[in-house]
Amino acid sequence: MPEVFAATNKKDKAEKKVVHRHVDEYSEVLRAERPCSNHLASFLAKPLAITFDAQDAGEHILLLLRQHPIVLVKRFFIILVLLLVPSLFAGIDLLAFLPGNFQFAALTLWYLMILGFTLETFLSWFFSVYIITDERVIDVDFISLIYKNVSAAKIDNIEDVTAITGGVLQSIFNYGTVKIQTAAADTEIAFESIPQPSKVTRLLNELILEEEKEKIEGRVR
Amino acid sequence: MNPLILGQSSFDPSMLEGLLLLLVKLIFLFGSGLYILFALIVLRQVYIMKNTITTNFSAIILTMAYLHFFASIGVALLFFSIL
Repeated sequence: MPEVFAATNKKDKAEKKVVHRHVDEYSEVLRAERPCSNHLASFLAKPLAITFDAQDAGEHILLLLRQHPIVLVKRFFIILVLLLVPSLFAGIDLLAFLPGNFQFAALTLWYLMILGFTLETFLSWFFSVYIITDERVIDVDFISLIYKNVSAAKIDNIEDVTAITGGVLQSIFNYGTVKIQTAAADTEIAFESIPQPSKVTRLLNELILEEEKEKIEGRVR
Repeated sequence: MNPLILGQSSFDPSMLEGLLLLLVKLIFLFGSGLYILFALIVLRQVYIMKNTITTNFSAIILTMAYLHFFASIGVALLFFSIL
């Protein structure tokens, strides 16, 4: 009797052995993509040499997204105008009432503030990322220098995925928002202004299907 | 002797100018001090975010943040010396 019991246990263990398929085996979207090593890109499929702090052992980043660079154009023009302000007002000589050293200090402080604004713009764009792994979706919002928001949802908890593309710019440059409804307490995760939203939606649907298959086939992680 | 006339005659415009320049100088120094604080927050946030997401580019961003911080200190020292 104990021998039979032991044999059954062995069989169960063999059946429940972790068989986690590689993403290329089940995702048509990512099969067509080459691993990306450009860390400044806004659509990084199968990114190389990128990890995040809450990453589990064996969890792989499938897609890392940032806002489309076109959203930075507005800020770029603001910076350009700010840089040109001293030259534009050179004829009026607004600071003529101040001695030369004070005028120089004012100009230095002006350019330093523009440098700070540029750096803050870049950091907000670079560190606000949306990560899709083979287990979760993670939204890292670096809203301002003193406010950071990280939310995550398991793929199993995703109930609905919607891609929204509206407006002339979004249609031309193929970017938009992907809304992910989850069963978790934080009900919605929004990937805002990301490139190729339809591709992201297709990938998420493929991942949801794979998770369901894993459950049915008992391929537990 | 009219005290009003006496008061008007003792008024020195260069003193007022000196006071105004001192005020402007203090504003500049306070501004540069605030900017150092901002640069320090940027540096701290870059450290936090570097640990949140690790990429090959993180080292370059950290260098940029350090350069920005040292530039802000340099500007404050410049203001101390020239103003």
